[in-house]
Amino acid sequence: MREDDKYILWLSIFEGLSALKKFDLYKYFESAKAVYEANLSELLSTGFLTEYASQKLIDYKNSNNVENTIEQCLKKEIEFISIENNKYPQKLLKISDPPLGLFIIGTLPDYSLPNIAIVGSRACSKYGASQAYSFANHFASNGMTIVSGLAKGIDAKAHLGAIDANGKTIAVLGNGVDVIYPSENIEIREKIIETGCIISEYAPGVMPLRCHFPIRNRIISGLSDAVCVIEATKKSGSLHTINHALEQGKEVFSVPGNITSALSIGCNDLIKSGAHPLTDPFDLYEVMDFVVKKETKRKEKNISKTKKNTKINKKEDNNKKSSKDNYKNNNDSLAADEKMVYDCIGFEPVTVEKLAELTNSQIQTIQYILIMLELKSYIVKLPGQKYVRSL
Amino acid sequence: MLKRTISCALNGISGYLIYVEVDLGNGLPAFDIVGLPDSSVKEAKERVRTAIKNSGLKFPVQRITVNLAPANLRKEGSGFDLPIAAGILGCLGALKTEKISDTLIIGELSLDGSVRGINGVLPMIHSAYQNGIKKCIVPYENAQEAALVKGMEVIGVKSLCDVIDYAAGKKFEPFKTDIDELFKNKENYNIDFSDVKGQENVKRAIEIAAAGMHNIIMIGPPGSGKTMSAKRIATILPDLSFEESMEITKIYSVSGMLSSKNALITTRPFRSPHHSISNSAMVGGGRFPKPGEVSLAHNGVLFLDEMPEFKRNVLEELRQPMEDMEVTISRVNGTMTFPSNIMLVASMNPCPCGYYGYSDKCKCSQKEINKYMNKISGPLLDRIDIQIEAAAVDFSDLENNAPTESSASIKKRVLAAHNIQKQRYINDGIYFNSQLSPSAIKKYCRLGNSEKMILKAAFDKLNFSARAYHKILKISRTIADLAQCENIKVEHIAEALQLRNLDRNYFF
Repeated sequence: MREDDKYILWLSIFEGLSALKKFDLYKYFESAKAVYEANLSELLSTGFLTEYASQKLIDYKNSNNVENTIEQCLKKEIEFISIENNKYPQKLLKISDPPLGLFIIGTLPDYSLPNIAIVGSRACSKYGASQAYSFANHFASNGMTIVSGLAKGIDAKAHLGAIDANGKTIAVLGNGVDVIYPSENIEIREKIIETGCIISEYAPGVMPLRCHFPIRNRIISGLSDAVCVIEATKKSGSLHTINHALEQGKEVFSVPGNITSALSIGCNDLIKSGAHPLTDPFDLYEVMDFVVKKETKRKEKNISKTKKNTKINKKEDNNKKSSKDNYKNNNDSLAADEKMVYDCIGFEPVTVEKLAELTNSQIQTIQYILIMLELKSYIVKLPGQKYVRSL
Repeated sequence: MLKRTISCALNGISGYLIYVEVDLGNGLPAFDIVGLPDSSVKEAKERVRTAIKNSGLKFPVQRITVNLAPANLRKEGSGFDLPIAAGILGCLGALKTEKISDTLIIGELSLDGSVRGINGVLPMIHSAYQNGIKKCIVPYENAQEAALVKGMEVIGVKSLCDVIDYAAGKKFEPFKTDIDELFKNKENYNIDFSDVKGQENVKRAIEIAAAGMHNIIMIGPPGSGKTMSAKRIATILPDLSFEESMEITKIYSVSGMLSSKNALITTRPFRSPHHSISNSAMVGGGRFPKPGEVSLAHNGVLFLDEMPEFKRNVLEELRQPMEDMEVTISRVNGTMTFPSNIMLVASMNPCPCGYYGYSDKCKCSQKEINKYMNKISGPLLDRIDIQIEAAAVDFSDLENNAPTESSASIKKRVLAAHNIQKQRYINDGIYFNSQLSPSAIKKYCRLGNSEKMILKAAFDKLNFSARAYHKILKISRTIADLAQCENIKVEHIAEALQLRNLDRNYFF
């Protein structure tokens, strides 16, 4: 590790200042070493530090955090990439408050490819989960990198979609990269490390605090060229990411949902206020055409070619699509009673009892028809004896 | 001077004869009881002495020795008071023993000489009758119960003096219990399935469970009517036969849970122990083992509400009684076997907060949900054939006054299915589809090609575990029996697939 990087590491893991102030300090003194060597009056003369914060920063010089962190990084194979390192993501340099350094497990993907952030609710619906998966799958299989936050729900599905397409994916965490959180995503985490990386601005061992997540959201949007929201409630944390994205001048895409669904209010509102509706991967490609460079324009044509190919070759790549086609082709093949039940099932979950009431038939007949429809992939069973149409 | 009277002691729910030998001899006045009496029997001395005195008779100032033969078996209980007193009075000549020499005597004495009721009279009298005893003297309170044994001449006594009078030749009207009358007058269940609004799905699952005597677990949010439905299961099970009734009554008699009003239990038991229950309360136990909840629910329903809240070891102890339909308890004082042929009905929430999958309220993490589910072990879950989800009840269902099916009409179908099974398994030593062994499944659950196809498709597509295979076939067999079909058809398999919710990964 370079000597200068140690100073950057020292400043970046200092907890008493915001990322913006740390970056301003770094800019003001032109190097982290100069920040380290500055005395109280010099720090105060910057004009944006309080006396309390300055004193804390000076006291912090005596701590042995840097040595500990370096030791931890070596032990756990964590890489520290400082803002001066040429591996540092160039996209992040363009935001107003870039982290001074990133802790990384895995390998950072090539930056020339566009990155797409996919964010959304943790408590997502079946609809949201399947959309996150299929969009991520599609983008990743066309060479884009999927950026998300490794939370449960939409994030996890987006990462999975990318992994299953053998694409690259980056998880940006709100805790130290060595801290496993949330624990249920441990398998996804391992798979991400194989093909992509997990990154964090927080030092190893830092616990996932509530306040970290809105801050890390700026990195998710900062790393990306476009941000897609799959499902968001009215006050969802995903909307933070969108705010950052708008500040950073990124394109925002939103997947529309049922207007009655609480989980889609945020998304639908975004579309109302001017976000691009995303109903097909090509919505994104067309818009990005104006934003991304010429080389990718060529690529975009390739994409449409590959898309046609995927239709024939990769069945698992677009399971949803094929079943949709199935639906269009085979809907007539359903028996009359099956069709009647199918027509009563929408995209909002409906219980077995309700179906029996709607179709005015006995519970055993309904159960039989439901299992047949499920076997034919028309519908999906949810916990609580509820059913929705499969997508 | 030696006299002998006959009495009876309990071992589990069967009795064995005890000969009470009383000897009056010269020597320092003393009163000794030998023959492995426990402290409740030893205390008989004081009760007998005072009761005789207070009955207006003279207690002998002599050396009294009482032997309870066979002397190698431990005896407990207060039922020996009366035979000991009779023996002493016999020695004194105050009581003529000729008439009662072949009469079984049991009863507890009060200090004023009156006779009190004791527990376990029915099994004792029943065993005694099988051992050739034809007459018995029992406490008046227990006379009705004792008279359930056909052919036994039952004399109900209210006091020690009654025994003396009977021995002296006074006429006592033997007790008679009209069993048919008891059955006719049986208290009707005051609950009915028509009280349950909505939940057609759960009701259907319970009907299937009752038809094949399958164990069932209901998973649902609070207030979805799981307990309400479970309580009504007994109302759709077939009426008790006399033999079944006797078995149940014996267990209740041993546990002291019979009142003199309803001498015979004529309704199927519904036991719903609280989840704080201990091991020995569940399967039975104690120094002298007493039946636990599994035996009290014999021939009926054992309902475990909020199953994951039960202590794990309590649940694990249920495995053997459920399999063998009897439970054997070994203690220092003896090994006892109680019957435990139960239908297990359990209920649970899908997650610790109770609302997973039903409401946005649920904030439980996947880990918490898994932990909650894992409280029920695989082997136990393996013994529960039907796993059904109960959805939350809509307000419209509660308001709905449309007539719902009554227990009586469901019971008819269940009965028909039971009869089919009884006839089919007449040579197999089993009664219900739930008891089918894997080899019997092969024999009785033959599938056609289209049936095999759907089963295969379901296993490929719906993430069923291998464990589910036999269960689904058993349930399909029951559904076919309910539909009075000779062969299992596609729709039966399909419905059975819907009753194995925990096997499918969609839940987690």
